[in-house]
This record gives sequence, structure tokens and C-alpha cells, in this order.
Amino acid sequence: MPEPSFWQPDLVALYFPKLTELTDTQVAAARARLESYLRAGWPEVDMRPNSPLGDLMLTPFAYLLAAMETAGGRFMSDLDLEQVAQGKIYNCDFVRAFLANFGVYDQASLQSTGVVRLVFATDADYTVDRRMRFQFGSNTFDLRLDFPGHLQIYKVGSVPTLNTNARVLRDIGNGQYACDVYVKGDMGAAVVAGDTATVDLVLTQLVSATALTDFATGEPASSLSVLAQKTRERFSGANLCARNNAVSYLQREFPELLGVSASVPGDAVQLRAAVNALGINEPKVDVYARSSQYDFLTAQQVRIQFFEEQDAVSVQRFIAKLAVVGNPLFIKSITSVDNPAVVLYPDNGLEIFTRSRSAAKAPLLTCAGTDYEDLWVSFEMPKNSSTGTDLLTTATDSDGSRFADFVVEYYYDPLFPAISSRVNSADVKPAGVDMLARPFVPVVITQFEVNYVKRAGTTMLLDQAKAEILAYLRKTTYPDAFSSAQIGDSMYYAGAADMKSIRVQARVWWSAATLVLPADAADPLVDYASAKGDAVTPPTVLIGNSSELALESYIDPLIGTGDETFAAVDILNLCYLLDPAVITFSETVR
Amino acid sequence: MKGLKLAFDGKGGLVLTDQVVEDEACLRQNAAVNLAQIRGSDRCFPDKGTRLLLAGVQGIIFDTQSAQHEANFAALDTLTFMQVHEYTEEVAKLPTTVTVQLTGIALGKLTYRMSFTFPEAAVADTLIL
Repeated sequence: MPEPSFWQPDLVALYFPKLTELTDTQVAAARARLESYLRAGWPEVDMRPNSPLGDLMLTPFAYLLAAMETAGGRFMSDLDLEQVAQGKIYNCDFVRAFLANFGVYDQASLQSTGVVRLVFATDADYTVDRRMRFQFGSNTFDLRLDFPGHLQIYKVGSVPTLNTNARVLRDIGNGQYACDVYVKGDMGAAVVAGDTATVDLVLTQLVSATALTDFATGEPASSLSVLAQKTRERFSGANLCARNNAVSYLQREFPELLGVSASVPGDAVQLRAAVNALGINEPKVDVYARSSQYDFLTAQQVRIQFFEEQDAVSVQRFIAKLAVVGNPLFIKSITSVDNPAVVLYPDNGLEIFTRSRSAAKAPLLTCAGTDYEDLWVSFEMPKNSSTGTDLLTTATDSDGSRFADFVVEYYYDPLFPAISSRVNSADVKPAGVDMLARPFVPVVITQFEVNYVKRAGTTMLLDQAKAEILAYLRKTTYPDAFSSAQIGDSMYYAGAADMKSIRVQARVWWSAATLVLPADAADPLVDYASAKGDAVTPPTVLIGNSSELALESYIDPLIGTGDETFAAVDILNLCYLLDPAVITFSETVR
Repeated sequence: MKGLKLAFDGKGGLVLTDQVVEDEACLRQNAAVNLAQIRGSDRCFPDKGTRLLLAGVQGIIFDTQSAQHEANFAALDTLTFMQVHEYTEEVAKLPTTVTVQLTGIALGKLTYRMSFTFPEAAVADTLIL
């Protein structure tokens, strides 16, 4: 095997300082030490200054010694990750190889990852061999499955066993059914959203396999200094047994994560860990994670049944269990296919119910955005405000029920199920600890108006400022909190003379839902009136100015009562969700 | 104390690798090197050297009086340097005086006679700059 180049380094080029970089003090001290050292062996030899040996040998050697000492210090600096973390690197090849010894990123996570949407022509159960390969051009990807066995795809409406390699098809309209799967592999040319894959095994009824989002390279986009900092943070341990370890572990497994944190018993937002009779917290850890695609906005056509009555009780509402491909973080709108002018928004005529599928594992709002959450939508037949006539026409299916088609536009994190699956994998799950992967709680920003001052004649780079502000809001995550100063910096760089204020309208969305159903509440599809009666409205936390964006903490004040929802947010699980269009500017010229 | 012998031929010093000088001879040739060296040219010893050569080159020396004047300072600087940088156990062997006497002045050439008074005997060398 050929030796790597850093085994035979060019010490002079890599580590030696220039002669001019050596200080007089360094050289003089080196000469004194060298003279003292040599005189111990040859006390009779004249090495004083002005002597031939002193001036012609000892002094040049003093330069060499001083340079070697500096080079030695630099080499040790490359071994000291604190120095490397500060960007002081002399031999990048060596440092890269050195860091590899710590396994900052293991081989699996260095592979590229992505989400592939499988679309089938028939609603049925499928078994997909876990060895199936997806070919995107010259790139080959394998299924990323965290549990034993093959990938099981179940038909629409199925309830799969949790913590298995199971997916459920969702009706996406046009007689097609889809689910997302996660793949990993080596990526030469980039795979971007919309690229179509070919598969090496025959899968009947498979219409297409398409990249849902741009694939992550898997290569940490970090500089060596950032890698070194991560190494220092992680070397203490990278597993799921403690808060920092869990964070380190997931960052290593999923380098493309934009945010990750964990709440443990004792944290304000850790509401699952009740105190037992002995006064001891149950060992429960909530791992919050979001990928760089956490605000992926997508739309899916769904069919919603119109109920005139349930058990002879008049209902007159559209009600459906929401069966979309992803776990929605926030539903932006529901639009009628038949009449696109009819658009329903959460809390504006649109009711969205959430209920946990496992009250023991993820009670109430702790199930939000996870595999344990079921969602229902419900709304009245939209009416013409002046004539009172129905704005939508419904069709009738074979069993006589009325329905209409709608397009649900929602945000979700395509990578989150892969993270959740990894956290629950038997290979890494700590014994005796109840782990739950959860998405960050989004603060949905609907207005972000920056009021700035500019000098007359100044050209403002507002596009640049907008991009920077958006990037800042997206990446701000634990342990950092929002700071207006960062917005000010962006505005100054864009040419502003001053920033006067930031006008913000935002709301914490505990879940995509507007109403929380207790575990024993009725299914709205069966008994809407009863479900509505049992539903609890989660706290409304509105944010009206920029300083409140750095939300310190908000815990459901009704915990312990019948109206508890387990709504909880603080710096550990807070993120911002916004459409770039909501960032606007207001200018004052002076 | 032993060192390699230096030969001064009026064009600079030549190291004679096959000849050894000892004790006072070492001190004398070291002093001569110091006298002719420009002060500040050695980064290890900022006080090493004298102004003599530079004064000659820069035209500060323009007659016998100025030549002797600069030589006196150079002699004093050299003696001081030797006293400061001598090994502790060798200090007693240092010359008590160093004298630099102008012996000739011609176009492009100054000739000095360097004399030392050692505790045991006085020795003189001739140095041509």
C-alpha cells in the first residue's frame, strides 16, 4: 500500500518558519542553550561570540534549533484540536487523517443520503427486497433501513407496526399511491429533486421512483477547524445515553442536520418523564432533530368526505383523516381542486385535530410531527356569503358517500422519519431508556418587516440582506437563540445606515393541528360532535415583536388538569418556519 | 580555551582549519573580529561589533584625529563586549585594557594596531581595515 504523503512531510515547507519570522530573542535563547549544551561535552572549545566556531557554526545552528522548536510546536499544534478548531492548521493532509482516527464521521454517514418517492399504480401491500438498488445515472443507492427484514409497504389506511421497516401508501390522486423511502450510497454527480431512478428488481405496479429533494452529499461541508471542534465535543461519547451524547451521535449519523438537541428528565420541556412513586424521573429522552430540508413545502391531493350526518346527528362538514406522505409540521392551506378560489387556512374555518396513537409513548402534543400522530381535518361546506349557496360541488362514490378533492399544502421534514427510525433502532437505542424523536416546534413567522435607515444616494443590497436573514432564521437553533443584532449586521452589510425596528408577527404551532384530542376521544370520522366536545384547544402563543422570537420558555399552564395539552417550548426545541416572501423591508431615507 | 586560527590579510578574515589557537590568542582574534564587525549585524548579540568600519565607510572618519577618535570608542566597546559575554570561569583571564592605535591612513585603507594588557603580559596585534 503506498504510504500517504504526510508520512514523509517536507518539514521545512510545512512547518519551519521563515527566518524572518524568528525573533532575535528566540535565536539568542536558542544559541545560549545550544552553547550551554555543547560546552558540557567540549568545555575547552571556544564558542564565544566572535570566535570562528561560535559565529560560523553555533549561530547558524541556533537559527536551525529555533526553527525546529517552532516547527515542533506547530506539529504539536496540529495534534491539539483546540488549536485546529481555531483554524491554526499547518498540514491539512495530516490533520484530516488524524481526525479520521476519532471517527468524526463514520463510513456509513459519509455516504450520500436522500429521500426517494415511490409511486405505485395500485393500492396494495408490497414487499421490497432490502437489497434493491436505485440507479440515478451513474450513482447507485441502497435502501437505508434501520430494522431487520425487508421494506414492507402497506396499502392506504393501514396502521403499520412501529419500529419496523414499514411504510404506508398515501393516495396522491390520479389513481396513484406514494410513500417515501430513504436511500444511501456514493454520489458522483449530484442527484437533484425530480431525478428519476431505475431499480434493479422488478416491482409490479411501481410507476416511478423519484428523488424528492436534492440529495445530501454526506460529506461534511465543514472545514477542518469545524471538524476539530466537533471532535473535541464528541470524543467524550457519541451514543444516545445522555443529552450531549445524543446530539453528537445524531450529528455524526446525519451530517446534514440543521439542528439537534435532546431533553432529558428535569428539563422544562421534558413532559413525558413523570415522577414515579419513589420520586424518581422515568428515564425518557426526547431527541429533537431537523434536517436542512425541514421546511420542505409540498402539496398533495386528498379526497375528503362530506358528512351530512353521523348516527342521525346532523354534521354538514367535510371530515377526513389526513393521509399525506409526510408528517406535517404545519399545514399552510387546503385548496379546493374543483374551485381553487376556495382556500382554507388553519384557524380560519379549518379545524385540524391531532391525536396520539400511543398515549403511553407520546401523549398529547408530544406526538406532534412524529410517527405516533394522527391528524384529521374538518370544515364546513364553504358558502357564498351573499346567496348562501354551496361553493363546492361534491361527487358521490359507489357507497353513496359524498366527497370532494382538495390540495393540501404543508411543510414537513422528509428526513425526519429516517432520524426517528435511527433513534429507535435496536442497534443504538440505550437499554431502559424511552427515546422519542421529535421535530422542533416551529414558530411560524407571517411577517418580518425590517425598518431601516439609509443615507440618500446609497444603493441597498436588499436581495442579499433577505437571503442572509432567511439563512440566519433557518439555521438559528439550539444552543443559539435569535438575536436582532444579527439582522442589524445583515442590514449594515447591505448598505443601511441604521436599523430602527423589526416588525414581527408569528405564532408557535405546537402541531399542525388546531385542536388536541385526548387518547380516549372519539374518532371525528365516527362521531365529530363528541370529538369536538372532547378536543382541547392548545395555548395560543403569539409573537408580536422581534425580542419575543428568542422565546425563553413556555410550558402548558394547564398541565395536571383535564385540559392539558403538553404544549412546551424553549430554546431546546424551537425553530423558525417562514416563507421567504414574508421578509420585507421598510425604508427611511435621511 | 581553544579555537580555530584566523588570519587577517587586509581583505578579511580567513579560517585556518588546520591551526589551533589557545587562551589569549583566542581572545585577541575574537576581539579583532568584534572590532571590525558592524554593530547590530548579529541578531544573537545586539551589542556585538563596533561603529569603526561603518564610520570609515560613511566618511565619518576623514582625518587622523577622527580615525583615532572612532578607534578609541571601538576599543572600549570591544572590551565591554568581552567582559559582558565571557564565561564566568574565564573572566579573570580577560585583558584589563584594549587599545586601538592608528598606524596608517591612506586612500581606502586604515591601519590600526590593537594592543591588549593581560593580567600576565601585554600583547599587540596589527589590524588593517
